[in-house]
Amino acid sequence: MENWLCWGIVMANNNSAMRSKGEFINHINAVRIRVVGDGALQLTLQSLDDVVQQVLLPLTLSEATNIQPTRLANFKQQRARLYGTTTEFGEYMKITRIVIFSKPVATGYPG
Amino acid sequence: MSQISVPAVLQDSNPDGAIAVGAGNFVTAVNDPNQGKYIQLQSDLVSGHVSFFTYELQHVDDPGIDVGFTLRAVARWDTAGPGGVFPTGFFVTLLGEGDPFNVVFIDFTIDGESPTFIEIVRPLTALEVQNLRAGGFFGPWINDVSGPTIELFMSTDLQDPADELTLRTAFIQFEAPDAGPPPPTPDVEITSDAGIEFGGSNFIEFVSDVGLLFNFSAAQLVFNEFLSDAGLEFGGGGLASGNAFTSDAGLVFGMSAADIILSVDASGIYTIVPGKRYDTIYARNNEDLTEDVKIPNPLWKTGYVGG
Repeated sequence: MENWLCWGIVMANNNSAMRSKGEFINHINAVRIRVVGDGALQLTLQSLDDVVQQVLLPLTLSEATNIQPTRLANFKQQRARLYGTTTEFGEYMKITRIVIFSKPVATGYPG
Repeated sequence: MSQISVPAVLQDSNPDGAIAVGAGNFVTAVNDPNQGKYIQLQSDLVSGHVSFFTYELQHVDDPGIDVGFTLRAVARWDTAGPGGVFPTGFFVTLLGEGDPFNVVFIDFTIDGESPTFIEIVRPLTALEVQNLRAGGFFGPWINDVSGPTIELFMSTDLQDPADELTLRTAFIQFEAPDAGPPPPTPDVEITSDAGIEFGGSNFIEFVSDVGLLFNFSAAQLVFNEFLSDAGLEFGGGGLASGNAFTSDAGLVFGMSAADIILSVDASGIYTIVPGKRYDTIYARNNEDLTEDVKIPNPLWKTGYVGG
């Protein structure tokens, strides 16, 4: 998946504050993944341009599982992405669902 | 390969006085039309008899003869006497420079009157071959003997003076490869049995107008560990034509997670095999020379979330 650009037209009205897309500072506190495979899935949260990263605890993969595990995170950025990889010989993964839990905590950085 | 053999070449020289070939005495060279040529040692003494023969190396160019260090001694003996067991020793000694040394010693027991034929093949050591090539002389004991010498010595314990033991030696043959041309002499030569270590806090520089040459004729050049922050660089003309890094299994540069592997004449075609969790690099001309490698860190990235 690649980055995408999105923008919207902001229209001022009487009863709504200006809403912005992509500039709020969000706090990501957990990720949940539906994944099967073999080995260990290495997870990393990355900011824009990979300036800041947080390495999460790896997920131990199973070829069959009824659990969608959660990994806690503590990552505050305006934009973030999740990066996953395997590193050892013979490891593989099949991912069908990714849930990133985040909440806006600020509207932007001071000017 | 050089070879000497008796009796055609040898000329006996007895310390008791020169004995012409063919003359009858304790030692005779015999040319029997039926049995061929041989040296006959005849002893009726308790302590035995010694004969010395000079020899000259003859070059033999025979591709059928194995090149190596070989001594063949063929002896045939028969006894004349009342019969019985006679402990006997038969020496063939190559007398080179310095102290003489035995080339072969045959310790046998003659049982009764029975012709016996024996052939001994004995490998020579490098030192013996060198002495064989260099020749030598017996020493000051015999003033009229010079040059490389073979000593035939027979010792027999004959109890009865009437007994007689005859040893007929068909031939004694030495084979030794000819010495090749001497290698060029370097200006500086460093040798060590325990290895050579270069150490220090600065770099070591090899400077040569013709380059750095490693010449290992019998062994490979093995780098167990080659450390360099800058890596290994081949500059200038690079590797000389005809010389290259060779490996049956390909080459592996780097031992990190991102190995670079160069296989021997890899096929270059990527084939997806369902369920296979690794890649296999096939050598085009030899299916046995394959290398299983991991798929280089498969990864995924989500889009940027937020907003």
